[in-house]
Amino acid sequence: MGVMPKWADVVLVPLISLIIAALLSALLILAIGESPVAALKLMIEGTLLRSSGWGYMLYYTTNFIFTGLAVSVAFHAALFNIGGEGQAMMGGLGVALVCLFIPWPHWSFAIIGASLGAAFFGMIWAGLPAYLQAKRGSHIVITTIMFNFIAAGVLNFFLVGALKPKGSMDPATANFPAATHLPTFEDMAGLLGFEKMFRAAPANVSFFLALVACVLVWFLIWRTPLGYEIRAMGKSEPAARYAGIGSVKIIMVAMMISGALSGMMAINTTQGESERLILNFTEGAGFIGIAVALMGRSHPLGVFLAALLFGFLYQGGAELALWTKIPRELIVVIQALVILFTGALTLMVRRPLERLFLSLRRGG
Amino acid sequence: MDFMAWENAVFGYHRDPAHQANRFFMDNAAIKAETAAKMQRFDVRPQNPNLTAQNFSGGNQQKIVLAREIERNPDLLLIGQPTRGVDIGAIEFIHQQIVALRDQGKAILLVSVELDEILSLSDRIAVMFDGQIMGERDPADTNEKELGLLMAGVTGEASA
Repeated sequence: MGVMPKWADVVLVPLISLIIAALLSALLILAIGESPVAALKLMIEGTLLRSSGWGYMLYYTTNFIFTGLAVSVAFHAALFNIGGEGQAMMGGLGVALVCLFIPWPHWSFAIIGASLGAAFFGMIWAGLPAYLQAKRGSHIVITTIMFNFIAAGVLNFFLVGALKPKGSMDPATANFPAATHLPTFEDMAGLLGFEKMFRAAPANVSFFLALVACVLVWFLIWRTPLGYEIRAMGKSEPAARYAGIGSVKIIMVAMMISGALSGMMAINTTQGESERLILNFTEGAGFIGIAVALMGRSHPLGVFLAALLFGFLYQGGAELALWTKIPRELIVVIQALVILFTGALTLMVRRPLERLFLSLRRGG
Repeated sequence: MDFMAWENAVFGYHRDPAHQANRFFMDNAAIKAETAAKMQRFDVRPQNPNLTAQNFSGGNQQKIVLAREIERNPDLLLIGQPTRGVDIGAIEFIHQQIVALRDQGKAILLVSVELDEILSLSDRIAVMFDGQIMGERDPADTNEKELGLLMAGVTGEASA
């Protein structure tokens, strides 16, 4: 408990940071000769006011929840996992192998298998840098970045070689068998009697898997002895060692959980959306996860809300690129501003707020 | 230090069965209740297990740590500088706790630079200089001057 009440710390600080970022973005849109109000209206219409807009937004959100949680778990152990991208790529490979080579009777079994495959591959890919950090002292930031490139290379190797169907020119695997296809929101809405909802939108059942992951991560971090040890290690490594907590074990375990979560992103994109493994399916979601974790302050609920926001920005940005002269890249700039203000410059907002609350308390 | 007082109060003992609700989860409610009770016994102020440890004064932080270790009822306790930066009232309280543990027949190794503290608490005093024990004294027949000479590496034989 600090100077400020908890709600101010958790809600007010990110909100103010967000508003500053939005204002700057508005100026930017104004500068290229478009109307920020119209742009905001378009973004909201394209996402929140259409069910298919929701379908796209929640599809992106699913990705960001997984990668955001992944970065958060590592953050709690004071490890900076920049390798979400590579871990997700390897997760995709795991999903593809599980879906292509095991004859699944039904999607509900296939999603369990694919989760295990994705988590296992992501885990290995995070485990290697973790081992190098824990045993050899190679810095995890450097190694996880480098492992992104290796993962891209490995994915490339399989997609132009062993996993590419004969006669195909496309660097992608064959389509997954129909039994592994996940129900989309459109299918589910249809089952509930709402025809024509979420039409053609990619959001699928793995969104709920992401929500379950949020709850599980919360329990892991704040309710289990392992989470206690991860947090202790994150606050102070010497203190953790004093308490008999082995840093090698915690680095390995935290990074492997992180990698598994990153890898599971591929269930959404690979099994849920494209229904085959394609090159570059991660689309930078591994890096967005860092922003999501920073903004969500490494708390699963915060990660969920931040993932929603970034899902909105992604889908809204696509709408902007489609209907206005605002280039797609501007959305990246807006995202960068959001990251800058909610992550790096958070003290800029927090300090004056703390002072405000202090003077309020003295006055009252 | 960023941990809350109740989290600090089980640091190192967090895997004890008493702190586990079941195989998977920690029993946070029980830990908080136990911490509140410890805080009352050790007169930690403010008596709030939900404050982070860094928000307590140095003396109250020491009391939390001492509560954690002494209430474990250890057979052997190593204490280094238990009263450094602690206010006078708290010093007296900490000394009482250490003596009480000694009276239960537990072994205590106290390391301190406070000669007053050493003279008033110890049953035996060993003075170290340059990594070696220069001599052992009984607090009843020594004084600060002799201890001070030993601390400077001057042994009785050398000066004689």
